Amino acid sequence: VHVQNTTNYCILVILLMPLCSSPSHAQLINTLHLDFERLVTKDASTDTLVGEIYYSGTQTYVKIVDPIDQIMVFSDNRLLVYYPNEKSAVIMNNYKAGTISFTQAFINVTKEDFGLSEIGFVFEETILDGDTLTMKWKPSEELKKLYGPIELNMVNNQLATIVAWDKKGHITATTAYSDHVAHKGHFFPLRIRTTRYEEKTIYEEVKFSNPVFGDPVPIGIKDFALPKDTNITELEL
Amino acid sequence: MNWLTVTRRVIALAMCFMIVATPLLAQEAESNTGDYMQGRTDGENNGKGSAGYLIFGLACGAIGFVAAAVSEPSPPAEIIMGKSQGYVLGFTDGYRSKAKRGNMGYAGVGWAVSAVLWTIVLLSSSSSS
Repeated sequence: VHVQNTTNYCILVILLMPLCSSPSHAQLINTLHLDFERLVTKDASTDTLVGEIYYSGTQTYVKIVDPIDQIMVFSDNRLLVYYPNEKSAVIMNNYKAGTISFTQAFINVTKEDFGLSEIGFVFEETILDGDTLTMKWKPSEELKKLYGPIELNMVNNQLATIVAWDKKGHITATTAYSDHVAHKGHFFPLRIRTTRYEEKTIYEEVKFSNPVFGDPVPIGIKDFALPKDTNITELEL
Repeated sequence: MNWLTVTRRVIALAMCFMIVATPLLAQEAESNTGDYMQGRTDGENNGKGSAGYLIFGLACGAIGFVAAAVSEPSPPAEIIMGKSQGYVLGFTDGYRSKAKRGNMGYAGVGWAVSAVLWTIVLLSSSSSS
C-alpha cells in the first residue's frame, strides 16, 4: 500500500482547495453527482479506489465500494468515516484539511483564476500561441519561500495542463486534464492525470463518469445519519 | 433427553464455537493491530509541520509556540480513503503527533528569532540612550 506524501505536493493541493464561497460558483454547481475511479501508481504497484461522490456545496458525500465499503461525509468542519459492514465509524470534529482534492479539481474549473489569486499567487502574464493560452502565475513574496511558479495551459477554452515548480526551479507536479464535458459554458475534465516528482515518482489518474449537475441530492445522503447501533470513535482535532 | 445430555450438548457446542471462533477473532484483532501500526507509520512519514507556524512564532512568540503545542493537525482525506478503521485511527494518531512536533519546531524557531531580534533592539536602544 502506497501513501502519498502530501507535503511534497502541497502546491497541487493548494490548487485544489475548496473554493465554494463564490456566488457565481454556487450558481453554476449547486449539486453534483460523479462516479469515479482513482488509480495511484508508485513503485510499479497500483492502488485502485472506486466510488461515487455527491457534492452539494455545504456537504460532500463519498461512497467507496472498492477496495472496501466506506462512506465519508464532509460537512461543517467535520469528517465522518463510516464502515457499513463493520457498523463502526470514526468522527473527526474540527476537521481542517478540506475535502477531496480531485473533486475540487473537477469543480474549480468554474473559477476564472482557479483560485490562485485567493491563495496568494500573482498573475504574471498570458501567452497566446495558436489555440493554446498559457497563463503564468508567480507566488507572492510570502509564498516565494515555499513555492515556485505555476503555469496553466488552456486549449480551446478547456484546461489542458498545469505545471508547478518548487522554489528552486524544479518541476514538482504536472497535471493533464482531458475528456471534458460542457456545462453552462464551462468545460469539466472527466480525466485528470497527475505526476508528482517526489523521492519516487507517483502517478495518479482519476476518471470521472456519469456527471449529473443540479439534481437534488437523494434523501438519506443529504441528511446522512449513522445507524443507532454504530460503534463510534470520536476524535477532536 | 435428560438434563445431563442437554448440558453435555451445550458444552460440546460451546467448545466447537471456541475452537472455530478463537482463531478468527485473534486473526481479526491481529489484522486491526497490523492496520493500526501500518497507518501510524504512514501517518508519521506524512506528518510535517506547517511553515506558517514560523511566522506565527515570529509574530506572537510564546503564544505561537503554545498554539502549535495545542494544535491538532487534520490528516488529508485522500490518504484515508478506502482504508480500514484501524488504519485511519493509526494514520491520524501518527500524522497528528508528527505534524504537531513539526509545528512546535517551526514556532520555536520563530520565537527564538523574535527573541534575538527584540534583544538586539532593546540593547541598541539602551546603548543609544
